[in-house]
Amino acid sequence: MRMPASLFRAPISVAVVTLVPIVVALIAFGAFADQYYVDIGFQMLLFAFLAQAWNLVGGFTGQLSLGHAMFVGVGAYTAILLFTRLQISPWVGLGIAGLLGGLLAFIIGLLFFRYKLRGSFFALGTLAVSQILLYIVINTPALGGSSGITSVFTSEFADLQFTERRSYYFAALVFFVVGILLTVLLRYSGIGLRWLAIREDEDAADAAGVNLIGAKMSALVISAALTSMGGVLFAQYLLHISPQHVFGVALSVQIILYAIFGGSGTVWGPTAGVLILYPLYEYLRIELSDIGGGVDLIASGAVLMIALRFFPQGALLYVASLGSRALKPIALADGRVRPRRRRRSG
Amino acid sequence: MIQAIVDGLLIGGVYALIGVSLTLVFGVLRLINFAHGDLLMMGMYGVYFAHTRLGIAIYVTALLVVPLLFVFGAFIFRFGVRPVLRGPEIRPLLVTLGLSLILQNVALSLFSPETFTVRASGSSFTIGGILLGQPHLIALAASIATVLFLFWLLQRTDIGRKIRSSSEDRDAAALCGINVDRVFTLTFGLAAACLGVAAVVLMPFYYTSPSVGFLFTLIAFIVVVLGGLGSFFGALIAGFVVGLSESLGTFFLEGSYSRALIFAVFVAILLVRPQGIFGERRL
Repeated sequence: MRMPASLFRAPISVAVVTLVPIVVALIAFGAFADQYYVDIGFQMLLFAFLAQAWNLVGGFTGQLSLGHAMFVGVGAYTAILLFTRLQISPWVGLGIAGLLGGLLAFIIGLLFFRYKLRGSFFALGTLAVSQILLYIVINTPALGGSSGITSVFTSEFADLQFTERRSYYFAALVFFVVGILLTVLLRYSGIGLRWLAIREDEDAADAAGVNLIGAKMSALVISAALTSMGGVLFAQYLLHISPQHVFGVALSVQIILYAIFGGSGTVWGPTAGVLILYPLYEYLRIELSDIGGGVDLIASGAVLMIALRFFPQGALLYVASLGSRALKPIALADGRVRPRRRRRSG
Repeated sequence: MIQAIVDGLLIGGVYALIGVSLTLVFGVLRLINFAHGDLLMMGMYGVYFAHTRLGIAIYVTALLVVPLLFVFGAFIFRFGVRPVLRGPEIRPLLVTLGLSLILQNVALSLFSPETFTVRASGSSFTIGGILLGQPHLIALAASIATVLFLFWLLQRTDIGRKIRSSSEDRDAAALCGINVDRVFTLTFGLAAACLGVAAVVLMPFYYTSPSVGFLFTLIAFIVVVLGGLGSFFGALIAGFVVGLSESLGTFFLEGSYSRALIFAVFVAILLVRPQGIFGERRL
């Protein structure tokens, strides 16, 4: 793979240095921007985090999970149930949610990877599991049934709730930065290389001695644990969650869409996707709300189709490749024509 | 109990038709089509409006809805799916997912989330204490007839041979002078037309809503996987199995728990017998 900019291939230190000005800018934004924009900023950071988490398994490892909303759901329900029923602080819930999400992923991985569910069938399988959980929650009165559950608003810091809504933004910022750092660390470690090898060619990776089940399992479990922790923050922000919202297909698709649009399998792709698409949706939701529900989802579908048709490698690499195409000659130095680039979209 | 079995078998015929049309798409194009049920949903709205607004008798709407769905299916395939079909398998899958989102939410914006039903005047009668609805019987008969017609088309006609050869080896078929792209478009259109038939026979006793398509997509997947991917008669039999297990599920379980059960069965089959319970046999 020919990478145009050093940003995507740089060692960890460069990525960290890139992060510093971004974080400074984000802190300044959170401190000074209008409340309305900070609220949007919170959602964008949270979705960037969720898309990053999905990217670990869906992007780097190439295992298309279509049911990632279930991990958000597990996290959200765990936090609220522990808090309202057992008075356990969501700070503790954060850890428990991560463990439960990871455990669920472990069971799914054990079954799916053991029985060699690949590609489209892994996608179908994860979608089906998320639907199983959805209908179990809907039909269990103890979990609030189809109307969902509501948390208690205490606005205590000890309960991971904040009077100042700005604080949610900073909490999401912490998640986001940790997510980026973790992604960079994993991407450039041995496990990250194994993930990429599996994405490029599973059989070749197997032949080269990569422990397929182990590597895929680690990607899925880490991704799920992070997603569930994101779900806790989501629940603390919303304070009311319904099964269709946090277990539904729409949320899974939304997460995937950001990652794929920006560039799945790159460190900054999911963030770029959120940065481009979220304002678009927000605008559509507000401007076209009188047309009736679903305009933003029509846009989602259209964006997904257009992105996969014209830049399956993601907007980030597409823009970068435009630059490099202008700079580099088509024919190589020795007279051979540059081979057409083939890249898996992951 | 016996009533539940009979109901299951009756609806199973329609499931078989929907599953067989998805098998056609999967078997020939190797495409996981998430928009399958949404095409059915569009067809059902078509039947509803043709019947209520234009005053066309409900079964006569087939003359309008089936060709329209054929054209619509061929159109979205030609311009939406075909350009990405040769990429990694994940891409066309996600494109059809995008398509499904668009269709669902276009329906939501245009027709509101309410469910639409057609009150058909179809009579029903009882045999030995079992209620048999006339629309249900028509649906079963029409579904089986359509499946048989499709089978005849694939096995005995020229176009059927082209479809089968394209499904077996795209490149070899292309070398023999078959315009594979056109055959694929036609195949997708045919599958959509089958859904048109399903829409017409379902509407007299079923409902339509923007989200009904997703439900049928999932049922179709279960039918296809259960029947053995790409197997025609497997899907036909699996349609009845799914219909039966669904109606027995609702008979024994409360609420939509049966939905969870169906998905669990689906996952189990995917894991343990991905070749389906009847084994894989190509078209």
